[in-house]
Amino acid sequence: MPIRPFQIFVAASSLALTLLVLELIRRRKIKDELWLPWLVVSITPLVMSFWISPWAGLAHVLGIAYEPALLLMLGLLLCLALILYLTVVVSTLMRQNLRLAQELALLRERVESRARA
Amino acid sequence: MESPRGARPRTLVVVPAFNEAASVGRVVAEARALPRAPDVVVVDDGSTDGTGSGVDARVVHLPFNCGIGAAVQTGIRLALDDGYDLVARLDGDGQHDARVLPTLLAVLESDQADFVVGSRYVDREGFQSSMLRRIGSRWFRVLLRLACGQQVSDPTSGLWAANRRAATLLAADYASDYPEVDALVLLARSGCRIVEVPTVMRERAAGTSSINGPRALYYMLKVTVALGVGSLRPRAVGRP
Repeated sequence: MPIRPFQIFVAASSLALTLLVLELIRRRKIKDELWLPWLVVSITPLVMSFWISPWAGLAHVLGIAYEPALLLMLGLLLCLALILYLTVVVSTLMRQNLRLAQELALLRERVESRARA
Repeated sequence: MESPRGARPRTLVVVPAFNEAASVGRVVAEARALPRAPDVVVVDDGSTDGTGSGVDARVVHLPFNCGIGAAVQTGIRLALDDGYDLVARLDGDGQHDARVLPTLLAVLESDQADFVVGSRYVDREGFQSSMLRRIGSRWFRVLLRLACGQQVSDPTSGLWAANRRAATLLAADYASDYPEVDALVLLARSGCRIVEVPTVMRERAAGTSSINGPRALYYMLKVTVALGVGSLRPRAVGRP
């Protein structure tokens, strides 16, 4: 089966994103816990763009006439999964931030009341 | 109930306040004027109007606005750290009448409950809030009964007192905003005994309420979802 232009476009975009993620990991701009989901999101379209037949088959089973639409939909689902994961991470940070603010306020009160005594 | 040291239970009154400089001093004075003057801590939730300065109480300043639930939780943590036996909450806007606190605390001291709520709707006296809020309160009442079988006529009341058992649960898990109904679910599902005491509330002494317009809608939605999800969580502590 000849390579179609959209496959080249998806593969090139995916490769560029993967390289960017790897560079950010190398520079320690992405924390350990967060690079894995980004690698999954960036590499998956690359694999899917060349391993067409299973996805084309799946598109037919699902009744999707235009096969690349399935690729698009899966990409969107991956992005949603990533956003959901990041929401969990942000929520954890918010909880920890709140706890730190409380601890700081309580410690400050103790230090100031000792200084006054 | 006596404290572990055999003395009368020590009580800390927590006063959360955000930009309530005009009213918080009076709230503290009313609490301090009670028989057996309880200790009071004002938790300033990142105010910009000097809330807490010059009041006759300990003052804890949160470094930024964290939400009323976080402010109350800070006070609860202080109470537990400093070995208080009972914790009570009075809002900094002056809506809660401190004179009802001895009645709430007496229920805890006689070990009839772990958590006592001051309710506007038992005797229906004093400030009754707007029609919309009363409808909201009724909605939460029904949900609360469905979620954990707990009957509370005023589930959004912020006037309450807790013993160490209930306070320990709240110190570990207390929503940052609109925490009252969530807290009741947590306590009821953890086997805490919850009792209501009739109280009269006043209109806020100064400032404006944060619950209006779209925020009221968010409040209803947030608490409804939290209540449904909260009832699915595993119980924190088994029934004693």
